[in-house]
Amino acid sequence: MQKYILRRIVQALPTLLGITFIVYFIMLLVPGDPVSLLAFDPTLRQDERDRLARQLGVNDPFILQYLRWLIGDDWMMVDTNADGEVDAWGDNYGILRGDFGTSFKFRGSNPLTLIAERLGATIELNIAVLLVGLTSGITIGVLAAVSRGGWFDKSTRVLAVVGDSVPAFWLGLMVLVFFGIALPRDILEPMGIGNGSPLLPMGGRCPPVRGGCPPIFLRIHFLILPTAVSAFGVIAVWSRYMRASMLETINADFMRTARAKGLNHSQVWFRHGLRNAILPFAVFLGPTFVGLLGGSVIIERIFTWPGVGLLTFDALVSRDYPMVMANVMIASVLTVLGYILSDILYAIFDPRVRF
Amino acid sequence: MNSNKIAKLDAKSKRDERQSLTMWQRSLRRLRRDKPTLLAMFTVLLFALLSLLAPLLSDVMGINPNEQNVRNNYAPLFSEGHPLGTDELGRDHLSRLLYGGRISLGIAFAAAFLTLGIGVAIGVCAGFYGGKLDDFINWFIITLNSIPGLFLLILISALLSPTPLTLVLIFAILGWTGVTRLVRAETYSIKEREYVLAARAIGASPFRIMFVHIVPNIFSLLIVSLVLGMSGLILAESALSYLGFGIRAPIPTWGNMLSGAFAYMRRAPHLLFLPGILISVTVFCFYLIGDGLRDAFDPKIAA
Repeated sequence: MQKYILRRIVQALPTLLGITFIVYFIMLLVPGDPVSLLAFDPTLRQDERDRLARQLGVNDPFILQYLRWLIGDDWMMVDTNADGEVDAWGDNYGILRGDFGTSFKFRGSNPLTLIAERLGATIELNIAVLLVGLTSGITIGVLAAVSRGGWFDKSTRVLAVVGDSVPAFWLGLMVLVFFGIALPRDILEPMGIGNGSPLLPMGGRCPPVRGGCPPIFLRIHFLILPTAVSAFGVIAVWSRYMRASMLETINADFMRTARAKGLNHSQVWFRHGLRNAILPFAVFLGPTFVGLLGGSVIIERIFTWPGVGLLTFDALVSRDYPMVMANVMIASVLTVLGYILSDILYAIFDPRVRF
Repeated sequence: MNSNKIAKLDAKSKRDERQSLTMWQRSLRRLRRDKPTLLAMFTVLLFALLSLLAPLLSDVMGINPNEQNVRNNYAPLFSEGHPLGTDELGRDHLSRLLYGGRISLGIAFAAAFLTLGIGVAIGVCAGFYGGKLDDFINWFIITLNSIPGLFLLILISALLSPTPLTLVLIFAILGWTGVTRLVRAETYSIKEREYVLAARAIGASPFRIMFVHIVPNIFSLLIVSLVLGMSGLILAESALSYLGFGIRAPIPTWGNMLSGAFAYMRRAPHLLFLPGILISVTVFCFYLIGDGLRDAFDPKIAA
């Protein structure tokens, strides 16, 4: 088992390397020259500009620049005055040692510390989404399989297709309109209930108070709307897969044996059927997590949830490139970890998998 | 008695005819009976036609997607001269929806075909040649898929401020991996079949084997993935444009028409409802068509 985990991690290394290459390549698409972007100073004289360019190595070959970005240049000297002799030490530690440069927007901050501050919020939201989405998705899928062809089965099918077709951002807006405006002002207030203020918080992670957010059980109502919107898509996908997987398991030999030896209906379905039908889902866990991570840009933007997605969005709007690069790299590393974790989970839960 | 014999023979030949239906004929026959899929196809065609004819329709009705009239903004539905009201700048909402459909549907259509082309070419090569080439392509796909798709899409679009054409290219460059995986797996199994061996034996070139013998055999799979791909592309484009990184105003798309709509919710709810409904209905129809085609092509389901 340990060997398998180790091998899986070693296999991920070329992928991680490839990701750094792609991200660096995309950064080259940034319009404008890096010197003026980094210096942020239009009054810079030409000789200072040249000096900075040499220090940054912007005229070096692509592969050299990439390596510098990756592993830093603090161990080598750079020729900053173009006299053919090296004269100053590099001051860049490289992203492998956590140096993504400094954020443009938050002057002087290390992007990684900013991300670390925000990561908790994103993980909190996505765990809530996974909990809600998986439990309801699996339950709905199993019930649909048990009552195959019935009204429940048919209506969950419609729900699944609708969940796939409605854009998450629009669903988010609709939910905000309903709970924030339509329900309290147009329905409840005329009935004499409430004062027309939104029923649930319209965004954010907690009330705007000083000193950070209170413990999670005091602000669970802030989680409801973003979780519901985000989980809707998860439920749509998982309920359908679960139904298919369950129906496939029904025809397995061990199910016939279970029935033949006289187990009652629920024991056959849940003890034998469900436990086997649920196995392939360890594999879907990775992609689901990745989907949520990508979708966090949209969900966090709509509900102003102060996580990594919103940070990425703000960084892109303000063209804060070091911040953007760090965000994409961290999200990708999390993605790779998510895939590894779901493979390992699968190996643990299914003894038939050989290492 | 003679005529009886002829009638029998006739019946037999008819039966034979039915057995000798080609795959496409059989699929078409099944499709004709599939009402929901036909309805979805009709809806999508209608939307496509309306979008294509947007300039003509706008001229006939005397509306213009870019003509501003701030004194007549937030006009409600069914107001005079503006059947679907006007937006925050007093631009006609109906003609903006029509022109928006041109961009949204056009991008999805073009990008889906380009994605398919790239995906098939790379997938067939990877599956056919195998070995080092396959390993490299596989590594590249895994790597590309390990960067959260939306992050990558948003990142590149934000950097490039795309026009519709560049957005199509971006979608294709980022989206080919799904088709490639499908085609690669199919190619792996098909290249071991006898008819490929036969083609090889009579000296067919690799190119001929790949594109004359292998690709036509996965054509039905490709059509399904093309249609399902379009629904994904419409969703992606609308999300991107909604966030402000895709096609930007004043060019209307169904996505960017929603950007400011929430703020005007009290004054003009139709600005928030209509584009979203159009996106949802279109995507829903593409899913139905994809599912229907999959069933129609499936040889395991009786005609």
